[in-house]
Amino acid sequence: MSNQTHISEAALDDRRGHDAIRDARILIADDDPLCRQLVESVLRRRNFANLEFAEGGVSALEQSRSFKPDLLLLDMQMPDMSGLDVCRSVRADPDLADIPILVQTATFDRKKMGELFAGGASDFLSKPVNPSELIARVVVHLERWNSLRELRNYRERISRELEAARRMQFELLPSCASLSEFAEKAGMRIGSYNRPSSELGGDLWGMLPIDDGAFGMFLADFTGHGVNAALNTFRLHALIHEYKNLHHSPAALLSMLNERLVRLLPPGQFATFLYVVVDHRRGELRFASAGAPPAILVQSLAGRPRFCEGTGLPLGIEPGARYQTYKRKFPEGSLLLLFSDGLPEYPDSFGERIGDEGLLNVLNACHAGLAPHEVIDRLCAAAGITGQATLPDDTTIICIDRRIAAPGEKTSSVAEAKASGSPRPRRSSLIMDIKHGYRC
Amino acid sequence: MQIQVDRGAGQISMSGEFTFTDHAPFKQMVSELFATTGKSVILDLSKLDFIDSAGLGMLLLARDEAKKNDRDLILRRPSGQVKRMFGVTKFSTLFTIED
Repeated sequence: MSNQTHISEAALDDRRGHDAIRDARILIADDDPLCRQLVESVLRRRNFANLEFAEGGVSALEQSRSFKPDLLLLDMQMPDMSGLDVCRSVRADPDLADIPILVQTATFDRKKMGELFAGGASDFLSKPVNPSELIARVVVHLERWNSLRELRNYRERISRELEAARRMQFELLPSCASLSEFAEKAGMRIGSYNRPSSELGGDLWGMLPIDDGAFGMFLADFTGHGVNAALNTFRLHALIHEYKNLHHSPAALLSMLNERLVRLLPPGQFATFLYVVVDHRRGELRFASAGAPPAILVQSLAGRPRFCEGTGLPLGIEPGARYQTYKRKFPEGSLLLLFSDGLPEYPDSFGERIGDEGLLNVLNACHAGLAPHEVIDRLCAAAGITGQATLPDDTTIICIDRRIAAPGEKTSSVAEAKASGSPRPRRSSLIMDIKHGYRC
Repeated sequence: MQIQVDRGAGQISMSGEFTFTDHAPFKQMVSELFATTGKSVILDLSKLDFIDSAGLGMLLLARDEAKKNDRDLILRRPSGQVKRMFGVTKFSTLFTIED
């Protein structure tokens, strides 16, 4: 008796764990009624009330599936089905693959014990049952099972929420439909690629309607990636749309966004930002840069790609920062490429980066018949970015193409492209997954 | 990135690539350097091959730290990609840069 009193006191020490697990469902499988009663009385004394009993191996397996126990106490020697076979079958069931199985055995044969563990037993109890040993092992395994389940639930909840947030973030980006509508009105084609390095990213791009002759295109990249950077993209998206009256004026828009972000971002955090007004009526680009990688411009079908050099402090660092609006010609036959630093700075399998110059070379080798998404594919391939690759940084690429007019408009460049035999696929389908990113 | 600290001269020499993985060692080196006496703190960037936006962010934090401690932060001899980054981002207007 003194031994039992001692056990109760030890159990009281662990009251919290006990409370949390006393509702646990326990299935006791033993063909010997006396053994079942003994185990039951020990467990009930410790307030385990949610007990069920199986009188053989086959029923142990059936009841495991229907009762869904949190712990299975399993006798090794049962006439209809051995404990080892029950173990293996339980483990083969995806719903039960992780539950703790305590095997009761009189054997101390090391080889058999090895087989038991290999078959999926979590632990063993020597027979005849010692009450303190039984309780101690049951409590340990239920606690472990509980923590495992809590972790799993937590992980599932977080990934559901991240998934929802990711969808919300993708919804900030122009849809393929609106993109092709914009492009068609402006008599050009636009391809895009956006892929975060994890579920959520710090890149954001978008199109801003100005009038029938022009639209704006911005590309922002917040320092870092993940949740923090992603939340900032939502802030920025709201701010950009707050200043509709500045959408025609790149430098003024950047100054205003900077003033707002300076107050929002902590030291060391900033956003690079490139804003381009594509004025197709005048055949002109007006742009301002807040520390963004320079866009690349090809000004005619036979033209060489060049950087649109523009400098400016990234947004959110210094109050009162000034920005400059630069102009470039953008006649029919031109192509403009915007990209975030994730593209030139992507380290390929040799740790090499393609760099800004490398991108120029790829564009130089792209003939005028290529569709924007084909240009993007070539850039990604040359940088070493594949569907399987994990991106260390969020990556966005936008290709604005005036080399071939929109479908319906017959121009010489269309004829040229057809002559060169390249197809002009119109991509209205939307591809969106974490591996391949979001593209139109 | 490799970092060499010369406490006597109040100088850190950085080489290799300065990216987000260098956050902890850089932060520690900077706070060590600001614990020394003297007016100027010098980051020698002449052997630094590459900096990304996280690296730029850390330079901003060092600049903040310098202001708080009333010290002058000097970036010495950036070259190549690092120099180009300073140009594009106009970081040259935020820091004292010695060629």
